[in-house]
Amino acid sequence: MRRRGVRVAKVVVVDDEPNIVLVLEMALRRAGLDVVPFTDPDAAMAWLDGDASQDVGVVLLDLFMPRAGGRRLALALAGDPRHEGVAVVLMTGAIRKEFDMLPAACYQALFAKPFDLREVVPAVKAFAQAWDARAAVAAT
Amino acid sequence: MDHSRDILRGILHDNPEAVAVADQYHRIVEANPTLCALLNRTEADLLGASLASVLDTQGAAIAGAFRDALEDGRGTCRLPALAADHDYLTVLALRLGDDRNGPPASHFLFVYVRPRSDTDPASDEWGGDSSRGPRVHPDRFRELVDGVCEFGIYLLDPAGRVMTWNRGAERILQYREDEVVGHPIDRFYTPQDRTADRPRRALVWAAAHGTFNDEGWRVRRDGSWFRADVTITALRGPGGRITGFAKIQRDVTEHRAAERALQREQLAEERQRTMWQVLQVAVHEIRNPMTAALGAVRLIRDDPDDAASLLGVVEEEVTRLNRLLERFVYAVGTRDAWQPATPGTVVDTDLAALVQASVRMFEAVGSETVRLLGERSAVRVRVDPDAIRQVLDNVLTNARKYAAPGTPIEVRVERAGDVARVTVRDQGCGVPRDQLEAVFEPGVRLTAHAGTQPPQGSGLGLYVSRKILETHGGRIWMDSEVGVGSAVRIELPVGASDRPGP
Repeated sequence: MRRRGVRVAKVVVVDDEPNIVLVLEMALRRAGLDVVPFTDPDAAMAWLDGDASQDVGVVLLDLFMPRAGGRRLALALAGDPRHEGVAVVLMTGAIRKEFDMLPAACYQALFAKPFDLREVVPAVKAFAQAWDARAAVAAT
Repeated sequence: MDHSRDILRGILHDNPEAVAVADQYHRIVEANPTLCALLNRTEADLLGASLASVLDTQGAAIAGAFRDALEDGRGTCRLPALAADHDYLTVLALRLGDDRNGPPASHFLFVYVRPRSDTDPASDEWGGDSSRGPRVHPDRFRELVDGVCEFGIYLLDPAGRVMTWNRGAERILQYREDEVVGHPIDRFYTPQDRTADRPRRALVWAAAHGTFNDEGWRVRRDGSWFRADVTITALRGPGGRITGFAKIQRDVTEHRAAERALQREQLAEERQRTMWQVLQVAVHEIRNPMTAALGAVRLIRDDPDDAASLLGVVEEEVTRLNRLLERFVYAVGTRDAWQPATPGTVVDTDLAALVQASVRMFEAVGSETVRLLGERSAVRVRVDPDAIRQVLDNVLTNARKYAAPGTPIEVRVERAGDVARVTVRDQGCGVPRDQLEAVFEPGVRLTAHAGTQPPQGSGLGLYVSRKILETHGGRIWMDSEVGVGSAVRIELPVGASDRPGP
């Protein structure tokens, strides 16, 4: 979203649990962030492919979703040069096996469920603000 | 005996080994040319001479050694001895004749005399010098065969009668050599095997194919049974004629028992693993509602003005947790009879209304389209509405997981005679025919596509649903076609009356 010519990070939230998305969206909006919510990781991937996604700064996603959606989404982001500066924040209710987990390079933070909003929101906000700052520098 | 001696003499005469035959008094009765050459004496010289003098060893030592050899059953002994221009000779004595219990007069000793180099550890393992080529020395072989206690090794004649017997065979079968030599092997087989002509057929097979391998029950001397691993090899002379059979036998009873115990252990481990998997997934399922509820509470505390809608989230998630708990407790605890959470909650219920409520909630939380078809007016059943609601939620959740993205889920309510039916149809990947029943087992989750992980779920949903239906006198099953989709069908008996209320 461009306000007065300044780019502001969008925060994408993906979790197949609708109430978790609801709660996160509300909490992040209260913190002044621009939130794009999804309950379907494939829908999120499709959106991230499109033009509207150019200002995505943070993706907050549940690792374990149907059809390995969380993993696929995270790997797609890691490999997409358009989203190189995007901070990936993982949420998970369980770590099952090493091979389910992502390589450390694919994510910047990990929160175990049930998480405390007082921890997650500031972290996401910090990533978003870092993105804003880089965007500002790049604009000059 | 004389005839045998003629044969023996013939064999000995050309034998490259130095051989003497001695009687029970240790006097030489035969000496072959090789021995004569070795000792540098003539045959006339040696005949009648005592072994002691020839071997230059104490007579008493010889007597003692031979006695030991005969008595401990191996029939062999080794003596250090000296002879003319050799430092050391090895004498191996083999007992001829098989009448162990008979008087010594029937014994003959078959004595190999060898120069020291043959027993030098640095020399060729088989002994002998290389000019004669490597070969298995009968004495070494005999030692080997005899010394092996682990395996029963014995020779059979072409008719299948025992010719030789080793320590291992005695240990395994408990028969002494003199009890079995000359007898057929049938007695080692079980009565059932004997009736089935198994001993003879084993030999026939070995003769035709070279070897015969078998595992089966055998009978020891004391009548006890054991599990034997047996190899029978046909022995052929020049021209291919069968000269006998070599039989090698091992007692594998303990081995098999250990195998079975291992299998049982592995099965138990697998069951344990399945339980752990179910548990792990359940833990994950618990954490999601907790996350949403805690998050909502945090939001309320930060801004009480938003309480109204958020409290709804809290209630919903906590209820979900409760349902999950019920499901889990049920599956893990009392498997065989589903107990309603609170007693006396079976009431006249409108199934159509229940379905509509479930579908509404389902649509609200997801992005799937649901087509609701069939009966809209009341369909009365006597059920526990929470339980049936749980079934509907389970089935819809299942459909959501496997349905192809963008395709609708179809829910049809109908009444046919004395049953009420709810069919939930998806256009997903379908389920193979041989797994249509397995989906109702606990802990079973199918992959949506080959090679992917199964979707999230405790694996208990359909299992518990079936239990609930059974208790209600109904049923639930699945029809499916791979690549087309699946239909879960629920049937409940229709209530006796259409009167509303409990």
